[in-house]
Amino acid sequence: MIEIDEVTKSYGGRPVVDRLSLSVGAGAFCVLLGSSGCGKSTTLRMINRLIPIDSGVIRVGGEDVTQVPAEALRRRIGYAIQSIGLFPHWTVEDNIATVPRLLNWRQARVRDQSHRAARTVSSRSCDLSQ
Amino acid sequence: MSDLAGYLARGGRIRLAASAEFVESPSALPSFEATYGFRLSGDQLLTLSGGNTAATLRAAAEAMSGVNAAMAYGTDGAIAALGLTALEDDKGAQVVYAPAPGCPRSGAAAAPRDRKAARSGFRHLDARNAPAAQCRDRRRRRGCRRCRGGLSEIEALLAVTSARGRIGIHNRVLLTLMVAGTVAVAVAGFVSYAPNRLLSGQPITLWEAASGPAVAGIGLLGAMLLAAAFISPGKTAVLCPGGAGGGLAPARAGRRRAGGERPVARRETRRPHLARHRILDPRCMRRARHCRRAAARSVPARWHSSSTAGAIVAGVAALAVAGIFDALSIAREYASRRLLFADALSRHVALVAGSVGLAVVIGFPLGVVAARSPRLQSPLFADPQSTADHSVDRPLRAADRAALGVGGSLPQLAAIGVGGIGVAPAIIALVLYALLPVVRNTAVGLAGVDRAVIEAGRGMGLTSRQIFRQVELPLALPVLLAGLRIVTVQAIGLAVVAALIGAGGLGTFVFEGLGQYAVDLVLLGALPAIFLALAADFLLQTLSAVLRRHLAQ
Repeated sequence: MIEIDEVTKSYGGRPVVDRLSLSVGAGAFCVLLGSSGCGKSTTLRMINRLIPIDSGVIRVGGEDVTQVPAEALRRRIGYAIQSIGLFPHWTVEDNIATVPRLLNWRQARVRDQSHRAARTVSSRSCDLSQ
Repeated sequence: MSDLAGYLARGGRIRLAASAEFVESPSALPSFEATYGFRLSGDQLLTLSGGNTAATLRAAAEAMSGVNAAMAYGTDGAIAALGLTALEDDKGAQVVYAPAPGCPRSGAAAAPRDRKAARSGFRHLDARNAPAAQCRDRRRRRGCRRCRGGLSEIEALLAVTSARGRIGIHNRVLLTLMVAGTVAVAVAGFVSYAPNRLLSGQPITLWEAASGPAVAGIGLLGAMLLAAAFISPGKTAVLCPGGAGGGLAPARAGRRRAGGERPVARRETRRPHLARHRILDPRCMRRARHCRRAAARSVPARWHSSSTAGAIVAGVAALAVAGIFDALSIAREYASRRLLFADALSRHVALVAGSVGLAVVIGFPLGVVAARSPRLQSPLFADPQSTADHSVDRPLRAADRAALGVGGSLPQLAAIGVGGIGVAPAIIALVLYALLPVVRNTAVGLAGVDRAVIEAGRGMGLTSRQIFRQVELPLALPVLLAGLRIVTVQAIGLAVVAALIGAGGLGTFVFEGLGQYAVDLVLLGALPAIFLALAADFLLQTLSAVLRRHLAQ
């Protein structure tokens, strides 16, 4: 459950997101749709605190995002970045396993989980070590 | 094409969609016009600034803006699928781009099936069946039934072999060296003989100096080297098939070389419009990535040349140990300075290692800071010219003077070795000289890391320290190592001058030799310095290649 309450963000005095309020229910599939430059990415990036909030409150699972360490918060939120979202110097498996490794999972569990994830999205068997 | 020329001569209507390059390049449309005897006016052409085959094909297929003909590249099944007819270049106005199977060695080894498919496929690939070759794959995926292809999908990378005359002058440097060497041996004598280093030597020709078999051996070696200058190294350019990025255009391949049963491609593989397509086409991007990985997995070509070089060096060293060269003047100089030489060499290496190490220790953090805050960059790199363009010894002298001043006014510093002469000022000077490349390469390397990748790391919850160590540093590493290489090689050369201020090293022999007019003594200092620089360069280059391969996997 994500709640956005009266959130504002401005750059140089010009509001990009102006007192936005919305809530997304748990398990809901939500699309933010809007013209270019209307603040979609800014809103999303405020949720995982890549951009600081000027005013208002964002709660994820009932918890104010500003009360959680930013890194810990981000590790809980899946975030696929625009254009390049992969580390070019890592294998596919390393890329999939980024967050589990950050969370200090056991190696076997990381491998198991990333292979399962790869199978979910790919019908063909693929070589994760590339 | 002849039919088209006839059609045009009868006043037939045409509007050709083509790229600007096709219209303007002398080897393209003008070549067709000259060969077939027609001329297209401005309003018969629809010129697109890019070479987008998809756009021209579509324009022709849908008769957009009155277009009824199109220039298209590629082996694309779209030509058949859109109901278009490929015009045959029956008079051979065009150079032929025919595909040849090939793959980086390791890539082929990784997928022998693909290599086999590519081979069997290309044996039969020509202008008629090339579109179908790709279309068969499409039929599997999209239910296209227009094509009757007989080829399997070609996943292997293609290489276009350069066939522009395999015999010709390919290595001008080698040729020049060999000609000069031959003339020198024939006219000026092979060696010169002097009873001691003060007298100038008497030239001795090769015939007098060596026995018959040795002369024959040297002659044979020379002939082989000379021949090497004329033989093509057999370059291949890797191209990607698929989509508009085909670039091989067998659909236009009308002309074959007389008598050649294998299709031969002319060299013109780096055409910019094709490069654009290859970048844009996602399939090709995937292949390019595969290709890079294959190349990264493969043993670098450098290894082959380096093993040859290693064998030569080992051979020469073995001969030297066996005493073959003992009569040479440089060996004589060495013999009389055996202990000094070992000392000077180790001192030289120590000077270089110490100064480069210090420069890295100081310069790396500075570079990181510079990359972090652009404001700091301008004072750090305030006047690159003044540092970079100095003659070799000026910074040394400047540092020398500075150290002298400091050592003179602060006896404590002088007590620990910072004085006017000796190792400390030499190291200070070398460090100062090495600092700029280290700082700059660090800053440039780190700044060159894609912001989006760092952003991705942040988004996934990496701390800034983790981003630096796991993302930025490995990605910037090639540039950092390049800086280290430059600095090391530069320091090896520069440390020779350090002998002037009593720091020792190989320069000792150089300046001693200069003082005594003993060229061979100069060589005893200069040649090892050169070999040291080459060896360091090679080692760091190899290290860089290994690390890059490691990172690519």
